Amino acid sequence: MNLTEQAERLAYTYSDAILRLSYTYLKNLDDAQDICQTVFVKLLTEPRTFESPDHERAYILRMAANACKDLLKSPWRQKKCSLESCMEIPAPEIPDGSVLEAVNRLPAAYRAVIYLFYYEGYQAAEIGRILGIPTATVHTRLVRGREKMKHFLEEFE
Amino acid sequence: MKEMNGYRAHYDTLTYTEAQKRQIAQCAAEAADRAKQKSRRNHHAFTKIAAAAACLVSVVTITAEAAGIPTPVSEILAPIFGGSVAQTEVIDKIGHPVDVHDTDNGVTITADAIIGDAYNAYLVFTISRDDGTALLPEGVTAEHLHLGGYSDVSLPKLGSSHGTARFIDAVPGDDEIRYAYFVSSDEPLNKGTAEVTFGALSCWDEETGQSVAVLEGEWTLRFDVDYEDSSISLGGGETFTQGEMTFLITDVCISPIAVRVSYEVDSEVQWSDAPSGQLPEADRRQMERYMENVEILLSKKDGTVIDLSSAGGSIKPGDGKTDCVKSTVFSEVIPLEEMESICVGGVKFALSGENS
Repeated sequence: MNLTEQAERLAYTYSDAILRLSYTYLKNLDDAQDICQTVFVKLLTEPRTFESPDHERAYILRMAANACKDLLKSPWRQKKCSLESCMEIPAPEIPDGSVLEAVNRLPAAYRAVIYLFYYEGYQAAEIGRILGIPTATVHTRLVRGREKMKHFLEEFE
Repeated sequence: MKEMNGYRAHYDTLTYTEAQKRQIAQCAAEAADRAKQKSRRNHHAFTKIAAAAACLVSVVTITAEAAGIPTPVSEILAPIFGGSVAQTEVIDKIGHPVDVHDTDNGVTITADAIIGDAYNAYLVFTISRDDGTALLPEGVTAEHLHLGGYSDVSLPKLGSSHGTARFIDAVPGDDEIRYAYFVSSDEPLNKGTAEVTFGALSCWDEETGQSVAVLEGEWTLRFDVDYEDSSISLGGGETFTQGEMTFLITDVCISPIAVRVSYEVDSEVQWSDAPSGQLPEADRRQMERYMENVEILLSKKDGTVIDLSSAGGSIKPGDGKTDCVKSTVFSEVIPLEEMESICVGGVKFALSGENS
């Protein structure tokens, strides 16, 4: 498989998942798209072998999560997006008082755990491996996240 | 939670079109191709660095594989030094994983990685709570934190040094925080063992003007300092005149993380006898003449010029002359191959090695 074919396979298989996970962290579509590029370029320049498609998917989500954390931590974080490279993806509308609004009020680390659990369907131990945190921390964030969301939803009513 | 159906439905709408996926793939393939070509060119241009890097890359790989989880050094250092493809490449080449930790009172401090050059070193530590609960109490933020104890990292060096440190809290409310420690030495740093003992993690209370312990404990870490020095020395022996004084450049040492310029002035700086802690106008003018007015400009190949003239340093008078050093750390990693030249007092040093 040449570089373009490899890139197409990655983009068709994982770009949506990376976009969604990055959006949960960054709440910004331009930055989420940058994460896609960062992850793919790294995979193409440093090819790796995986035991299974699940292993590859989990590894790629971990790369995306780490790239998001780096971006959040970077004191030099800059929003740069050339006109050509900026693709128009409609940001999801967030209805007032919705669960999505409640999730978006949570800290980034909580949002990522909620996303991987409720959207991707990973178990706590798998989420721990993807995010590089102990399983206990995943449980804590799920419990606290749900409590906080409940509180927000009650506030909305 | 039944309400999560709405959450999932919203995320279902976040998707690229087929055309956008093709465009992403094309951009990624082109960027990867450029990165690979650049990597091949660098191999020829910086053979010495590449050889050192190869050793380091294999060390990184073995460590990562042994741990079962691949953790490139760039993952640890990118938040401090930048995370572009080129920067990541450099960080993975010259950064060195440490992975030494100590636990006390349910909190672990890990020395994650070190990156440096001949005179400067950056160390990154992670402070994490073992039970996964929030590390810091609510309301405590990174900018008011400091570590107690003998928190200066003792590095293998001969001369005096100065440094700075800061905390980076990527995700407020979670169980960890990063601590970045920078040290710059007057004499070259050596390979050897570094040691540090951290005391309580404390928070500065601005209202009371007092330091309040947030996490009690004592953490001692010893680890090898054996990162590869990626700095290169340019020139030496060039002169320029300024303010009726002649400046003899003795060394220009540059790496992807810092620059250090040393020079000798043909007259001895005369300080006033002002009491310590005060800087009379006459002394300020002397500092300007000997140090601050010496222009250092770094030109990158993309046309960017970075003015490093405000770099700090030292002034040592004696025997009718004055030895000066100006040094500064870049705000992010700059790969050597992205640098075109560095200009000191109008003397230009090309990164290819030829001066003009």
